[in-house]
Amino acid sequence: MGFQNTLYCKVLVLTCILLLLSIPLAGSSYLNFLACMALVYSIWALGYNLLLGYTGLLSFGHGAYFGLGAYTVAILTTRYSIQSLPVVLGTAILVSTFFGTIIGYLCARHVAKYFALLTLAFSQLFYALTFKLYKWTGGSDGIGVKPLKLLGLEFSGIGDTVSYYYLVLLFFLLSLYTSWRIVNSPFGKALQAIRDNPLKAESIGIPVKRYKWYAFIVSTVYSGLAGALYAPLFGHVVPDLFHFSFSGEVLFATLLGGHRIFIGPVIGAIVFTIARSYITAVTIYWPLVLGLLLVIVALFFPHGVIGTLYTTLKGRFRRL
Amino acid sequence: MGEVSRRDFIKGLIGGLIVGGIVGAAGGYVATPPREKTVTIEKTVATGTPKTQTVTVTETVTAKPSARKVPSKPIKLGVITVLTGPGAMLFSTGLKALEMEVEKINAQGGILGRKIKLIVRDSGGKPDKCIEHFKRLVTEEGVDYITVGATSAEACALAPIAEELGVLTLIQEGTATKLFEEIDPHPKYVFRIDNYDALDAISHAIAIHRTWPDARKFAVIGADYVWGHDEWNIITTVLKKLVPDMEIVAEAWPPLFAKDYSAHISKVLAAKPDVVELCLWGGDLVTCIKQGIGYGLFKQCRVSSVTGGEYIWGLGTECPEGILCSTRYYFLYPPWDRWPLNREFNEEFHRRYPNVRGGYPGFNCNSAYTAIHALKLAIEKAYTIVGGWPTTEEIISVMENLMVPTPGGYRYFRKEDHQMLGYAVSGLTKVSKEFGFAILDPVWVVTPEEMTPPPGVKWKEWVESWRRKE
Repeated sequence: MGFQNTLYCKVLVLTCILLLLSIPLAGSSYLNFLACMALVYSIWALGYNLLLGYTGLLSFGHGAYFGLGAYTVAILTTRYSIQSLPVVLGTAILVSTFFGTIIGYLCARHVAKYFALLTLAFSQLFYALTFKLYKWTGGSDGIGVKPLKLLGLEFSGIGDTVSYYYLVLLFFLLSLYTSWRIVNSPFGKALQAIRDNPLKAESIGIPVKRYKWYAFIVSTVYSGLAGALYAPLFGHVVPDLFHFSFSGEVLFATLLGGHRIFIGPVIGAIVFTIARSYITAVTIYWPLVLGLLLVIVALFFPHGVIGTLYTTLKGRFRRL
Repeated sequence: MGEVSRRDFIKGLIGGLIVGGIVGAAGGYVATPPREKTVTIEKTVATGTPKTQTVTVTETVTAKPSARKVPSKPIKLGVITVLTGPGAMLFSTGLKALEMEVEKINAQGGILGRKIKLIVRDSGGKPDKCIEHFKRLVTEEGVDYITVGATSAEACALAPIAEELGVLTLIQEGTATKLFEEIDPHPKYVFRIDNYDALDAISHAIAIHRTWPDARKFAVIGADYVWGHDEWNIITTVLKKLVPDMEIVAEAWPPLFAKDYSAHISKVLAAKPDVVELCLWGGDLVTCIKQGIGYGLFKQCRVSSVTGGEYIWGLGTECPEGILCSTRYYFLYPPWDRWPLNREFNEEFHRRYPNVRGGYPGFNCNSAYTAIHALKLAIEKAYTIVGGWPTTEEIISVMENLMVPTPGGYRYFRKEDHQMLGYAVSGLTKVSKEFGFAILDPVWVVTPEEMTPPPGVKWKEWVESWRRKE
């Protein structure tokens, strides 16, 4: 019986959910904001890990789909005054998935470094376009985002952060559940087979390129959703979201937590968000500190912090 | 009379003690004569007469006994600025000037006896980090006020949050025109110090026309992003009003942070313009001017730059003479003999930071000075009015229309949109052996009245409404 089906696991999941539900009870609007940010990054990392952890594809351009989701929300709410939550979020996910489908089709035909470079190139293309189309996008100044509305309630990270936190938490739990179902489905197992040995996977009848493309599309759905939730949280979006350095943040978070374990990217995203928040408040050399952290993770925790912990504990239990 | 139980006795005893305590305290309070607090405020005032020093005026204010007491703990001033990334060179000098002024104010006893404690955060020029710092400073670290030396994108992102959280926020730069035209048209807690982009462009266009009234054919080498295009759009809109038969003969748009401008210089030279405008800033402007020397740009036509006054020191003595440069504050204006505050500010900056910006402060240093002194002035003035430590709202009501003596002359906050107004400086470059780089000589100014749209009116509507006097 796997760890995931044990009573301990169920109790742990329930405790985590209760803990997440109780965060606003602390009464700190900054904590709510930070928690929202961590959950948004977690959704993004969950989708990203479908590619990196489960399909073995390294993307340097997932900021593009995050940015498309964020900019769709900004343009709809600010330029067209459309603030309906389901309409705005739905459109943001559609736009991001649409471009993900086209770009994914072109990228999934390639492997390893060529795949990585192509994703980076498309991301930089969107970055340049956002600068150029400044009448639409606001260029380097960016564009403001108005709150989302549903049933007379307003959702944004500027005003009442509690309601926005619960909205983000709802989408996080949905993402977590769907992602869990995907990785444990036959499709998810096929992706893992592709990751471990594409040739063998092909030989047993798995359409490798098509499945890689599907995985890419699914990951862009998560990225679009994360971007769409990020925009009202900050109330402003800028072209930096499309920049490859921003894409690097989700890669960092995923590696930090561990890309070979389902919950790794979520833990990585939470640790990354909290660490960055505190390190930037303490020192102006925070990029150096984060860089060092990445070096330490790469050298001493090749499976990420949670991944390494899990592997170690699993080994100990086996010995016992 | 019945027997008193033990329980009733204890109840009575506790009740008696409480009532007695209250009556005793009230009696003591009434019996004590009202205590008045006297606070001495020292103000440094430049007299403005030639070759005079600044004078310190002492004002004594007596606070009413009922007034809010001056807290004993230091004033926590949150500072969010860019200390890493491409904008760091520009913004870090503003922080240096701010630290210099805070040190001086603290040495003189602080603001009404309260020392200022700076809590500095680096945004790296990224709006999301800027917002994160802002929320943390306000909700977790309990800062009293915030000043921001940051990019336009950061200012635009920050303003709605500052209004929502109700924190007095002094934006030093962040000069996007749309900040008060679109994003925060009726600000309550947000004030901006520097001239914004539209004012830079309008004043520069006026300066071009005044310097070279015969110029008809114009060309531009501009940074290919929103700021470059917007500035050129405003400059040409104003020039069309001033010179109806003007003509744009060439436009070249190198990308931001380009390294090679040769194709762009060749393109504009081929069109034989009267004036070439360099709508660039920072290292881009310096690089373009250096490459332009080799192509004979400065011999074949007149050259102007909307931001030049801030960056020409970086060219050293290589800088070609006769470039018309504009800026928001120029370290030699007002002349030091006529405005001692400017001389003192420059001398102090030069003494502390001889290797920063050639040893002389730039526009963001002046705005940092202005931010801290405007806050000090507003708090002290509000204190004299309310007779106690003022609330944020009371400080704001004083800050609206507040006139502040700055190294760059007197500047004031406009009540309607919280934009500080001051003149813009333009001048022609001339190599100075004394300073070791090109300075602006002669220098002219464009006044706020000439370049600023009325409150609530967008720059385009205002410029379009200009009519030529026949």
